[in-house]
Amino acid sequence: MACGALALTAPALAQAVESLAATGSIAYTWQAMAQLGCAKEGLCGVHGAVTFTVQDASYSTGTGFPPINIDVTATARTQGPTPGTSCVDELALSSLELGLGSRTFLSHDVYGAPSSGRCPGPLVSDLVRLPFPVGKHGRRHPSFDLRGIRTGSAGPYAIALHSTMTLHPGGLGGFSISSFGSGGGRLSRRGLVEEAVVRYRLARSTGGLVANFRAPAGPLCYSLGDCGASGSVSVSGLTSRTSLVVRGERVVRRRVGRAQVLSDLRAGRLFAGGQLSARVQVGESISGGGTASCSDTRSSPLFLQLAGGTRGSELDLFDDFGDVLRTYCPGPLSSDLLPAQVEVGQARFGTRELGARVINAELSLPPRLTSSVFSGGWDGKLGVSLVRVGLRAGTIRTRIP
Amino acid sequence: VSRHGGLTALLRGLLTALLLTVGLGAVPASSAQVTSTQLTFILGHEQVLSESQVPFTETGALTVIFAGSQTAGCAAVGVCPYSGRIAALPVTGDLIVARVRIGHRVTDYVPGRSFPDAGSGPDTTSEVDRTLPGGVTRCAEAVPSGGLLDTHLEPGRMLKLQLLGPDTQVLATRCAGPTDAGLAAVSPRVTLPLVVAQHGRRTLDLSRSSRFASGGFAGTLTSTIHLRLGRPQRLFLSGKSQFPPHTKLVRDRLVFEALKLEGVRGRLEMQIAGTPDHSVCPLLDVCGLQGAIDLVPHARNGSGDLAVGGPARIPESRFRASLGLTSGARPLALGGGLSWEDSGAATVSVSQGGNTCRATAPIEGASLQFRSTRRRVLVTLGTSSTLRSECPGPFVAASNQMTQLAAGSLPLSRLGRRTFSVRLHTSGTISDEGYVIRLRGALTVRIRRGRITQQIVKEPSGV
Repeated sequence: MACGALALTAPALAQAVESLAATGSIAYTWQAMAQLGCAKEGLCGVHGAVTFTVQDASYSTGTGFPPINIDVTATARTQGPTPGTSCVDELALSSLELGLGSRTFLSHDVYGAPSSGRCPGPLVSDLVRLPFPVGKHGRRHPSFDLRGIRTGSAGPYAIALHSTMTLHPGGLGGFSISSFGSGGGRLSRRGLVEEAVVRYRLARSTGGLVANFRAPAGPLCYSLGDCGASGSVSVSGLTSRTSLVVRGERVVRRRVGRAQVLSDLRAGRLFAGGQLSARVQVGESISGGGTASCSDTRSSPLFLQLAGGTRGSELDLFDDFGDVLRTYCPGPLSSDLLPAQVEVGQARFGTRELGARVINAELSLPPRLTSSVFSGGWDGKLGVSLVRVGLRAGTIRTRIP
Repeated sequence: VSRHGGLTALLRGLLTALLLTVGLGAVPASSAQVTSTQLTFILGHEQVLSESQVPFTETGALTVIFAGSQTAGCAAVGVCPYSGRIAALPVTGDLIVARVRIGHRVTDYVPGRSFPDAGSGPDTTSEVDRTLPGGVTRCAEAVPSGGLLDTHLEPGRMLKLQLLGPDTQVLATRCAGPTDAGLAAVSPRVTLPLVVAQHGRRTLDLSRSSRFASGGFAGTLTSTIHLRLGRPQRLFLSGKSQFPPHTKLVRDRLVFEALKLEGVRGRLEMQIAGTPDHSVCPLLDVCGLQGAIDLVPHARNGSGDLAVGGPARIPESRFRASLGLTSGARPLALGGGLSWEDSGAATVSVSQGGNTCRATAPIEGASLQFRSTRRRVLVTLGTSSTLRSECPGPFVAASNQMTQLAAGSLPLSRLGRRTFSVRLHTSGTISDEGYVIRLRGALTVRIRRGRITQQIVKEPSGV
């Protein structure tokens, strides 16, 4: 009876990909400023940059992705706050993806995004906010002018984007046209779907998660400038202004009553799920080793996700930018602290609780860090209380693929 | 393949693989390891019978602590102000051994170096201080490794594994410091029977501590690296169809024309300068840095192929027209590559703050890539050599990448001559982190045509 997840059939897309040759360079720079409050965090004197080595560039249309793709390796370097203190970190970033015109943006996705890495400096969310200068010239084989300077501020830092880059047709990869997709796709039909929609409000968050870390002596700590440093990162105060909409559905042959739909939801037969934009308070303190003492607190965006299937339900906190646990101080990346890199906390509970008036869950993380750069572990629990504010269940007639 | 348009793209991809992997010190592009397909093309028309991939995992690290030393000749090289530390972090990768048939002879083939898997962090880091009368400035680097493990097949089917060698780029960063080739003599190494290496499942001890004096630097090399060889994967390449049953296949014709390098004349100069951006240049210690890399080719052992591909039903005259052998028929798209070894060394000169560093960097080799337009053939000259030396300086080619240095073109009809020349002019400016590189000069490459061969291959229709 069940027909699995509902999905739209993708139309055929014609693709054109042109290889581009890059000249010039791109750098994000930052400088801690007294007038921006650097003394409070102990960061005055810090200055740094992210620089890029371009490996390949291309312009594509019809792919559904941002049209300009620049394959890069990227390095973050800082000096300060004291003379002789330096930090260098290779970033997990493989491409810069740029949109065009009024939609000009620097995409941040699974391929990473520029940041100061483990060094003191701005975060991904700060750097992707700087609008990227992109001018397009020519139609059939366009070239792109990315030159310009953009400035802004991020916490205690004055930040800037310096670009002297231009992209011209004629890279080593040439030009190609192809198409993919289903060639028009199968027309959708109308059918019956049993559906349950439950709205939850984040009523309360209690406790918190704390990671205590230490940078042991080793080759990498010399380049990060933190040999022997130790500190902690805390996650607490989960809040959200919107509600969590959990939706479960499946195709059925005949109408199903409300009670049966709720029963199917609680049995995990509807593969329900929903996501909520939230914020947490992230605090960090680091001291010792070669680093100057630094402490910072910030409100970080993340997602709270609830999913339920036949094997039970899961409540997860997800990191959107990959650096939700970073602050403006030097310190570990999310990938150093989190086992799955993006899950900031996880709780499992029975599927039968889906749709309940109140869901209470305690998010936790494994006690030991698996990082090769930092040792330590997690402690504590982040309590989350979700209160139901709406429930709809029944059968609807709708278009299904 | 589908994204780039079928057979033409397939050819281009394979030929690019050829360009990037012909064992001339060149290295594979992004896969970070040599694949079976690439091996097939490295070895041209020779047949790859089988291939062993032995995964390896390192533990420990390699640390080099150094300083410019009068006794090591720092004044002559100009590296007296520099001191620092380079650390190579443990990586994972694959050791590859192929069994190939060349004519009636069956032999073993081992690529000159093994490459680490792409990791989430740097493979090599360095912090190098430059001591001046007014204070100390620092260059800090974190880069992916440009190849680890120098691998050589020795007489008696013995395999020598060495952490640093003429073909590795483990220590290469943009900062000043000793080079892999300079420390090859004190590098940790181990020699074992090839059959034992192919069997895997053992740990090799590459730990060692040595003092060195080389290239103007003196210091200590400390390795705590142990190499764990894992369970080998053995591939037998039967040549039979590798597509699932019931796949609809179409016949395509691939026509190859062998090329042999007759000679390369001219010179290239790269004028290098630290970025004028004062928010970036202190971080790499390149403020006010000026220099030049002078490159006079000493090419040898150059060979390659031109290749034309298309459906087998297309008249052969069009394939011949694509190679410039006949006129009249509409030519198909042409691709190709030609690579050579270069036994010479580029001279490097870098001046900064009243100090001039002079050194040499191995050229290793270079490659031509051919691509046809309607009536002309576009030729680009690329290198995958970093051209790094003891002096501070840019990576001319990024780790495991090809950089285009010069380009030219010639009429398609000229390909029909027994020998032909192409003039390649440098193409403007290239950038590397913290550096601007201005290219000057031109090269003339003379090429002799060779035997034409063709083969019919089957590939899935609609690809």
